[in-house]
Amino acid sequence: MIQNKKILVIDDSATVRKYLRWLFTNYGNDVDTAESGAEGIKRWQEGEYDLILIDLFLPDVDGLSLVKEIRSKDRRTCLVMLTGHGDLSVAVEAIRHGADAYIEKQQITIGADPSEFMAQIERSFQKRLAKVA
Amino acid sequence: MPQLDMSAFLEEFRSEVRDHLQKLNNDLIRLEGAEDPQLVNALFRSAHSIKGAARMMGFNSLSMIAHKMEDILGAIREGQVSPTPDTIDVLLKGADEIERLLGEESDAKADANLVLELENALSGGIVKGNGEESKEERKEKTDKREPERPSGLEEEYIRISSSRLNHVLEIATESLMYNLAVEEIARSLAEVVRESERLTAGSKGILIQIRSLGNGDLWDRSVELAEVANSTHRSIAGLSDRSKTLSRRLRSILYELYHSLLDLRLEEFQVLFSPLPRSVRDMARAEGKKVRLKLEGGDVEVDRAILKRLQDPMIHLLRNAIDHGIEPPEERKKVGKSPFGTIVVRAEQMGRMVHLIVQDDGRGIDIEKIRKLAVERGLVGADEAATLSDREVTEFIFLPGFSTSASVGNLSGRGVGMDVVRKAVTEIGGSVSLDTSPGKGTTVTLALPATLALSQVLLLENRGQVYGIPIMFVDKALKKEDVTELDGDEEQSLVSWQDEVIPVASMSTVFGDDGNGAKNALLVLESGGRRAGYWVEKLIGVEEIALRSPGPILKSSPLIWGHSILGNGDVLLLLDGRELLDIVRKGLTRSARRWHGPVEIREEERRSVLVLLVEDSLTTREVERSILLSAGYEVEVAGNGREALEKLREKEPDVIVTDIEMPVMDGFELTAAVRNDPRYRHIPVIVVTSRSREEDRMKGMQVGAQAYVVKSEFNQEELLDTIERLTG
Repeated sequence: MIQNKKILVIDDSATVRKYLRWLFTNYGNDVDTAESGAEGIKRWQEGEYDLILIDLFLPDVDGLSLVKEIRSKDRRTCLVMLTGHGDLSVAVEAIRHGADAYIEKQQITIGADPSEFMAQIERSFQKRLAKVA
Repeated sequence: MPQLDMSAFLEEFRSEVRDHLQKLNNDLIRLEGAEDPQLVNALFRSAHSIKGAARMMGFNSLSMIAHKMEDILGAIREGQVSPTPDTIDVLLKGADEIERLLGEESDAKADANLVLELENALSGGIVKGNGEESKEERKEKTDKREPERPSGLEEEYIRISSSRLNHVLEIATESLMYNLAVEEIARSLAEVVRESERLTAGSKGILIQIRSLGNGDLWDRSVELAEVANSTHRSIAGLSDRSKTLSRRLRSILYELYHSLLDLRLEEFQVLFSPLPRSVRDMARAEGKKVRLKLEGGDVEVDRAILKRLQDPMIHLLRNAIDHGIEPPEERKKVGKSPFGTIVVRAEQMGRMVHLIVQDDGRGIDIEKIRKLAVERGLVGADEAATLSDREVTEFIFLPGFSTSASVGNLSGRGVGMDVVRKAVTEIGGSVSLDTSPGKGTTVTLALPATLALSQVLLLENRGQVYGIPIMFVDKALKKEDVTELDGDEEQSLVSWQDEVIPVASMSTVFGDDGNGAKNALLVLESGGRRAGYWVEKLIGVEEIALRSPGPILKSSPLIWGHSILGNGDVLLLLDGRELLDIVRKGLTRSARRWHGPVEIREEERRSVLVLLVEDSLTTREVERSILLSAGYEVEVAGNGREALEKLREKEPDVIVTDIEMPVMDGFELTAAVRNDPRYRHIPVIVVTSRSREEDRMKGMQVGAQAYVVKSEFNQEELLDTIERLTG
C-alpha cells in the first residue's frame, strides 16, 4: 500500500499532474508536482522523496537524463517512468539507467479503477526497497 | 475506489487543451510563412500532449484526431510530407474539430470526412469536394471566433469570477460617491465656521458697549455668553479642519482603492490579438488576397469589458480592409506594390486614452465619390458638400447603410459595419475616425478610454440645473472676452476665435427656456472633425464620475448619453456631445427644445423604480442587487418570502424579483400571497431561478407571476428587459 509517502510527479500535462496528485493524496500521501525537468530537479534537490514519477517527454529535457541525474546521487528514491505508446526502447533504456519501472500512460484513465495502476506502483516501490536494503 | 468528481478534472483538461490549441493555431500560421524545424517540433509536441491528455480523460475521438495530426507533423518532420497551404488547411481544420469535440461529451464522434482528409494528407493527397466549406460558411466561422485566454502561469495567479470583482468595484465606486457627500459637508462646515467667527467678533463689539452701561449683572452674563460663543467657535473650527483633512485623506485612499480594483480588470491587448492571425489568414484566402498581418502593442492594457466589446468591431474592420481595402495580387503588382498587402493592428497608450489603429496599404477610399453620393442621397446640400473637408466627408461612411447598395460596389465598401463599429465604440466611451489616401491605404483609429467605469466629465450649470458632458466631446472652454461675436440669430450664430469661425448656440435655448440664459462661458465641443460652441451660464469644473447606463426613464432621448448619481443623491444627466453638435450645426436649437422633455420627466418621476429583491443566498443577492443598482433602480432586499411580505408592508415596491427556493416561505408561496392580497395584487412579480423545468414555469404562471427568468449564469439583460417591460 502506498501510504504516508512523499511523492513527486514531474509531467508537463496539467491534467496528469492534477489527477495523480488527487489519486495519491486520496491514499494518504504527500504530493508535490513539477511541470518541467528544471522545476523537477529543483524540487528533488529541496525535498526528500520516496517516489518520483517522471514523464519521458518533458518540454525542456528528456526524462531519461533526469533519471540519470537523480539516480547518480540517490539510491533510495523509487523512480517510475511514465511513457507513451511505442516508447518501449527508451523505457528499457531508462530501466538500465536506474529507473525502477515504466508505466504506459494509456493505462491511466481518469474515472476508471486505479487499483491496477496503484498495484504497479506498489511493486516498483518494493523493488527499490529490496535493492537498497 | 475513491470517489471522483470528473467535473473538476474536465475543467483543467479543457483549459489545458485550449492552451495547446492556441499555440497550435499560431504555430501553424507561422509555419505557412516559413519552414522551420523548431516550429514543426513544437507543433508535434502540442498534438502529442493533446493526444495524451484526451486519452486519459476518455475523449477518444478527440485523441484520435490529435493522433492523426501528430502523424502528419511527424511526417513533415521527416520530410515525407511537405507543409503546403492545403496541408496546413487540413491541420487547421483538425484543430477546429478538436475545439468542437472539446465542448462536447467525451464520447462524441469526430467528423468522418475530416478523418478521411487527415489520412489522405498523410499519404500525400488532399481531399477536395465533399466537406469543403463555402466561402460564406468559412467567413461565418471566423467571425464567431472568441479570443482565447492567454496561457496561465498556474499557481501564481488566482481565478476570480468577474461578477465578484465587479461587485467590489461597485462598492468602491459608491463609497467614492459618498465621500463626495462628506466633502460637501466639510465645505458647509467651513461656512459655518465663518459664521461663528462673525458671531464671536460681533459679541466682542457688543461687550464693549455693555461695559459702558455699567450694569454689573448684565456685564457678567454677557461675558459668559461671549465665552460660550468663543469656545463654540474654537470647537467648530477644530472640527471643520479635521473633517476637511480627513475627508481629503479618505478621498485619496478611496481613489487608490478604486484604481487598484480597476487595474485588476486590466487585460493586455494580446488577448484580443491572439486569434487574429488565423482570422486574417482565413478571410484573405476566401477573398483570394495575400495579406500579412502585423500586430503591435500587445502589452498595452485596457479594461477587459472594453476589450470584450472590441471583438466584433475588430473583425469588421479587418474584413473591410481585406475585402475592400487590399487589392488582389495582380492589381497590386500593376501599381508597383508588393503582391502581399500589409495590415497593421497597433495599440498605443495615449495618456488616459488608448488608441487602437487598423492600417492597411490598400487602395484607399475615393473621397469625391462619397461626397457625390452623400449629395445624391440627400444627406447634405450640394453647396455645403463642397465646403466640407476631406475628414468631414469620411464621416458619412459611418452612417447606417451608407454603402450597402450594389452601385457602391468598389467605391469604398467601408460602409458595411462602420456604423456598427462606431456604435460599439461610443458605447464604451470612445470614438472612431478614419484617414485615407487614395492608392496608398486607409487608417482607422479607435480612441478608447483605458478604464471603463470612471469617466472625466465637465460639469456645467445652466438655470440652476447641473449637467455633465464627457470630456471626450469637449475641445475647450473659452471666456466671453476671448471670442468675438459675429452675426446670427437665436437659432445659430457665429463667433470667431483666433482664426476660426465656430457656430454657436445658447444652452438655454436647447433646454427650452426663453433663451435668456447668461452667456458667461463658451464651451467648444468637438467630435469627428466637427466643432460647435454653446454659451453656458457657468462652468463648474471637471469631475470624475462613475458612469451608469441610463435607467428606463431616461433612455429615450438621444441627447442623454448617460447618468450618474451625485453625492447628495441627485441624478446628474450627461449629455451626448455629438447630438449637441448636430443641433447647432443644423440650426435646430429651437426645435431641439423638445429635448427639454426628459428633463421635465425627470422632475415628475424623480422617484426611481423600487425593486424588492427576494433571495436567500447572500452572494447571489449581492450580485443581483449590484446589477439592479447599476441599471439605476432602487433596491430593497429580503431573505425569504416572509421577510419580503414584511418589507412590502413598510414600503411598496414597483416590482418584486424573487428566487423560488428559500426557507420559511418559498417564491411560489410568496407570489400567491401577493396575488391574493388586494392591496398588492397590482405589483408585478418576476420569478428568477436556476430551475428551468416546464412544470416550474407553469407553476409560476399558475400562482400569478408575470414573468419567469431562468438564470444559468445570471443573465442580466433578460432580467433588466423584463423589469423595464413590466414597470413601463
